[in-house]
Amino acid sequence: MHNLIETAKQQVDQAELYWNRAHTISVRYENGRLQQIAENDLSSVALRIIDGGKMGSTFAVSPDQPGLIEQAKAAAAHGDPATFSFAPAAEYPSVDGYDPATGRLTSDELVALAESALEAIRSRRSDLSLLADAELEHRELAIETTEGAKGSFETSDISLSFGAPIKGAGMGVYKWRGAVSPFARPDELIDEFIEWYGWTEKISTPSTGRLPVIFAPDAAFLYLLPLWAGIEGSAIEKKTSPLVDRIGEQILSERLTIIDDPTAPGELGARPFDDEGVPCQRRALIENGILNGYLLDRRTASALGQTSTGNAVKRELFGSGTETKPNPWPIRITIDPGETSYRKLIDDLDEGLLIYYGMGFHSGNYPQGQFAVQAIGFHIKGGDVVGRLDKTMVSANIYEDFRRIRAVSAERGPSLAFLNSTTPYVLVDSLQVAGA
Amino acid sequence: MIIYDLLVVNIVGTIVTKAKGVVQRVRFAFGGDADYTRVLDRDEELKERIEFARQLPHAEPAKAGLYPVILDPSEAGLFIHEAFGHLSEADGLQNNPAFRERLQLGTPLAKPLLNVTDDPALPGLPGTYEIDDEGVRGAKTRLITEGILTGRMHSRETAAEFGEPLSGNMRAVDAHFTPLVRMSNIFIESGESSFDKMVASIEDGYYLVGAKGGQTSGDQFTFGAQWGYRIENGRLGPMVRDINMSGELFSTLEAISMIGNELAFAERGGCGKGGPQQLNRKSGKGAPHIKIDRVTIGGV
Repeated sequence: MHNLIETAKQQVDQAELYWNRAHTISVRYENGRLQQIAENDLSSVALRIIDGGKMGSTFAVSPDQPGLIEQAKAAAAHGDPATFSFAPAAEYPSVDGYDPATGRLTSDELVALAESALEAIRSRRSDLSLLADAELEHRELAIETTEGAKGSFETSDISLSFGAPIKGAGMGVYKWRGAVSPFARPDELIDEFIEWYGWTEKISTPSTGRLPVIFAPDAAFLYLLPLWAGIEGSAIEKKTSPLVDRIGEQILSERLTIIDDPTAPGELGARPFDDEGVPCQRRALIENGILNGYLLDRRTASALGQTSTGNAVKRELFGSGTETKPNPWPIRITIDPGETSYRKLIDDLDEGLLIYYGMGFHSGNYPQGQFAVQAIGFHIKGGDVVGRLDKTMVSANIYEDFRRIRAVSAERGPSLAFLNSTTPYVLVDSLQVAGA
Repeated sequence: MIIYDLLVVNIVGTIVTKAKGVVQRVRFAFGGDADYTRVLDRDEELKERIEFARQLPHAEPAKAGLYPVILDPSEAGLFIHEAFGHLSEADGLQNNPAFRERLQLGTPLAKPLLNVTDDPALPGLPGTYEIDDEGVRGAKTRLITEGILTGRMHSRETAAEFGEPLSGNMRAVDAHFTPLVRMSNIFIESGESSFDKMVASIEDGYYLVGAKGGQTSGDQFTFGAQWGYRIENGRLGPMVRDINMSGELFSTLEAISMIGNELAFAERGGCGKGGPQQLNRKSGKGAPHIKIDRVTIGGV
């Protein structure tokens, strides 16, 4: 037991120590030139306590910093009433999300990876203003509570993103690859970048009306974030979610099975326990379109008279980190693949859109399942991509429009650094499009 | 040695209302600078905001399409901050040859009625300060003068690289971060049109009220409004909900055809920039009502 928890046991009702240490290296290229190399070793600590029936917390760089318990007690004097307890002892699943080979990589090797990708692009498109980021993180997380929870794990994460702004437009085409272990230059991703960039060189704006829309994996956040807002425990507790009392009901197309899979071995984002020390579990959130359950941390579980689902994450819509309080989030989203190739989804469309990003998501009424975003992607006519979208908005309510999904692709890909998700291309039958 | 205090008092919140299965959210924010008394005795304004929130679930959603719009000062301030202001911060242009070429000083960007300024010396606003984090005195910068691009915000490094005057805009939110070039108080200067005259000039459009966040990338933007109103045959019509607009900066600046005569600043500041992101509360924005002849509205 860490000294801080040992001491806290004598001084407060309950305590929870969260200690995150990370070694990161990042390499950034702008306009094709190496712009910045940064290497950081960071340690951050959050101490939460329950004292006199009230919550208090404090933050520091080390648990050995003097005065932490006193600071948390001072905060608790004015804190919210404690409505739950910190995590008890538990058995954690074995999850292997760390490769020492990633931890040993140097900035020179990240530079070489990024240079190699940029050179491969330059050899085919010397006219682009290229951007690239190569990053690695070796992270160690330890959690301990006065109630008996105690655990630690290590993760490694290496990622490469590259792309270029579209000439004459604000957006760009970007590709991303991330893994637990070092990887070679992703040539198939470079091929896809070259093809997609080529598609941007003509503009084609659809007419205003309803059209089928293919959501590429990078655009999956447009429907996954409204779904998160509908199934996270505090929206259920406050009864502001449209999914209150709807477990067991068909809420999305039967073609969608959405799983939170934090314990998949060797996968990016896999972890044995959440940010409150509760064991993580593989769970189907949506099974063939039917709502299976909500995402709960210890506070919302207590409020709803249930148990935590192991989904407490120090994250908000905009921001995350040690100083962020835990909230219910999915940890590693995967969507089951379908049987159709994504090329065939395009080939079979008389007219429609393929979108890989939507701008302005958070301005919409997403807690109700809605979004209205500027669509970044391509216009398809007669089974061919005829150009990039310009000044085009797409609006949807996922609980209406995503009941009618025409097909889900066999291929899956990551959503650009979003929730470590792995999703297929999803073809929605008809969405409202505002174009020319 | 320069020593100064950074103190901001804010109260922010969201009012959630539900009727007929429709849930709506309306935000409020009081404060914005070091004067604590500004957050006191605001009950009547809060009640007024609650009343709007009560009405909103009963409103119809906006209809998708291309429309002329009027933006209220809050939404117009957000537009000029997000869509134009960030492209006037020189660090964002340093390694972006396409926009650097397009945004050379002297370039005509809008009709002569548009004037945009960044000014850290205006008293009592969220983005007010004396000295930036490189020790440079914050200066008033005329960014657009009678429709022509006339100025830019700089650090010492970018001012030297661009061969333009120091502006004192290099700021970090605290000592953990490297300073970035940031707007202080950016605003569209007052014009001559009355609000009624603007409404009367529109046959079929929308009036967007209250900034609800937005996103930009290069010259593309998307913004939400807290609520809006239909404008039909020159008259304000019923309230609408779920209204977002998007467009492209340069064509939208050209499409600003009327500017109101009552400049108002947002009470609370806020701006996210950088990686890792620095959320700067000391950032102000303002505008009068403005009319834009054509933007894309997302909706049903």
